Amino acid sequence: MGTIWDILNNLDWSPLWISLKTGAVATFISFFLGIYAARKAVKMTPGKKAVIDGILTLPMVLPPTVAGFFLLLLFSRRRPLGILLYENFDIKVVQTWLGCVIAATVIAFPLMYRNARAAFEQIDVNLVYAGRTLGMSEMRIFWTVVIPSAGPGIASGTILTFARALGEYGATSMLAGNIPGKTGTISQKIAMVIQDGDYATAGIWVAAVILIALAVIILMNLILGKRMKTVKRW
Amino acid sequence: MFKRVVSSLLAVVMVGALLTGCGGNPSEEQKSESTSSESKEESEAEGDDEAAEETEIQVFIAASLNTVMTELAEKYNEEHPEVKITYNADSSGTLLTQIEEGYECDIFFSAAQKQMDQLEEDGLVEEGTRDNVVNNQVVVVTLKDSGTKVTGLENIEEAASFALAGGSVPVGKYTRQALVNLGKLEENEDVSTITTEQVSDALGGLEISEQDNVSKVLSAVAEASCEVGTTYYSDTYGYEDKLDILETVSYDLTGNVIYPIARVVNDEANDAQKAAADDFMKFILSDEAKAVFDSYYFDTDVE
Repeated sequence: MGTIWDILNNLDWSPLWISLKTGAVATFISFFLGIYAARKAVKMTPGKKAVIDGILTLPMVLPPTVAGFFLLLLFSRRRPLGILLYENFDIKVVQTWLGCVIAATVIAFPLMYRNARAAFEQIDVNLVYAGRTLGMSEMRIFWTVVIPSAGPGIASGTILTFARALGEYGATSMLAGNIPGKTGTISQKIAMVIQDGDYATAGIWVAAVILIALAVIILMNLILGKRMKTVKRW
Repeated sequence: MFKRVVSSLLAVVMVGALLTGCGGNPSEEQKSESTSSESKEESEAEGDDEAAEETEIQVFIAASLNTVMTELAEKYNEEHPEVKITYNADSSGTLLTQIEEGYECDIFFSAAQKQMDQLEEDGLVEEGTRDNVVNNQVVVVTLKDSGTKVTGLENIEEAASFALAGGSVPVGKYTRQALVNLGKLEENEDVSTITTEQVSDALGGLEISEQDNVSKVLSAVAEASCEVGTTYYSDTYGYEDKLDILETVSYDLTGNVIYPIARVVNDEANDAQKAAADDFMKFILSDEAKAVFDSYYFDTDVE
């Protein structure tokens, strides 16, 4: 036990904050982007929808390291987009925390999008028609009719997105690197200490990531559950 | 129709605002980062702030060097507290790709010559700075008191199962090379192309569990999934209570397992950073550092 306390006292907690911040921001971005993309997809013609859907789901299919490699090529400081961003806007994606966020967002986004889309497709279209008949604006219908009806799907998408973003490893290590205090997430820390055979420290981080994930997911379920009056127990 | 256009426009604006809103955060981080890297002018403006004097250097290290390099950085900082050493630890191949794609890097410390050769070919190595730091030995390990009959690669067939890294993983390649030199495997121009099935057949159908990196080999043996495995001597650090070393395979069989280091071309580095990187590299090659490498089971007897 003594050794565990020693480790805890000397532990650098930066991976915790980096992971939490990354998870939260990536979920936030994916939430809105995912809902927006899902809404667009639902309104598309079947052919167009199939193609766009395939593209948006791709990051989920590719091994994260491969997705990360493509992201690295895209934002590379030696290639057009990376140069453009850096020279004109002073934005550096590789080797920065922004890279962590982008990697986690790209990898986790399909979960939000797919869940939101499935939820939108299952709502009772008559409700939307009723809204239109009553002269509600499309925007208002979307926020007051569609979103509440699709609540459970959106909630599950949000939770899955957060869980995936929190644990992201492959794409992050490619795009943002494993720089302690800057881009070193919990997942990368665990990989590193396992390599050193330091199971005690690895265990602490595994426990930390499990506790956070559990706490956040239970909390989200409770909050979202209370708001979803349409959900019945059965 | 008009409403639909307005609503989708609003959504775009919303997403755009989100993105820029989130862009604010990292740029803040970048600011704090640039205060330490481009500190010259700003440090004068800030006066005699101690932290502002800090020079940050980016050092990319192979993952297996993480522990020893962390200790070396602490040692170096005792005498040079003004230098902030920022590590990026990953597999040498990933690090190479990152440097090639424009990561800011001052020193690259690779686990194999191959990646350093490639970097040199790309013209990203500062001329004349490349040096060999340590050598590493391949060892045959088993779980402590496993009672295995195997005494080394010589009679590896007697194991019930063998944890071997794939041919593209350096330790897997070196093990294959040693088996070729022992006459157990057929000669092959590129030993890394010998598949695990071929190794298994050549060893009389020995069950081989292919692993994709050294730490998985270690876990496979330490958790008794495999009777024996081959890994680097330095990677057994921290496993003294769990593993027995059956054989330290000689360099004659494996060839050298050199870890090279070099200064990397970094356009963004200012003179202070360049000087700090040069000095830190000198330290890595010093006798003081050698003693630390030795204590982590690296072989410092290199040319």
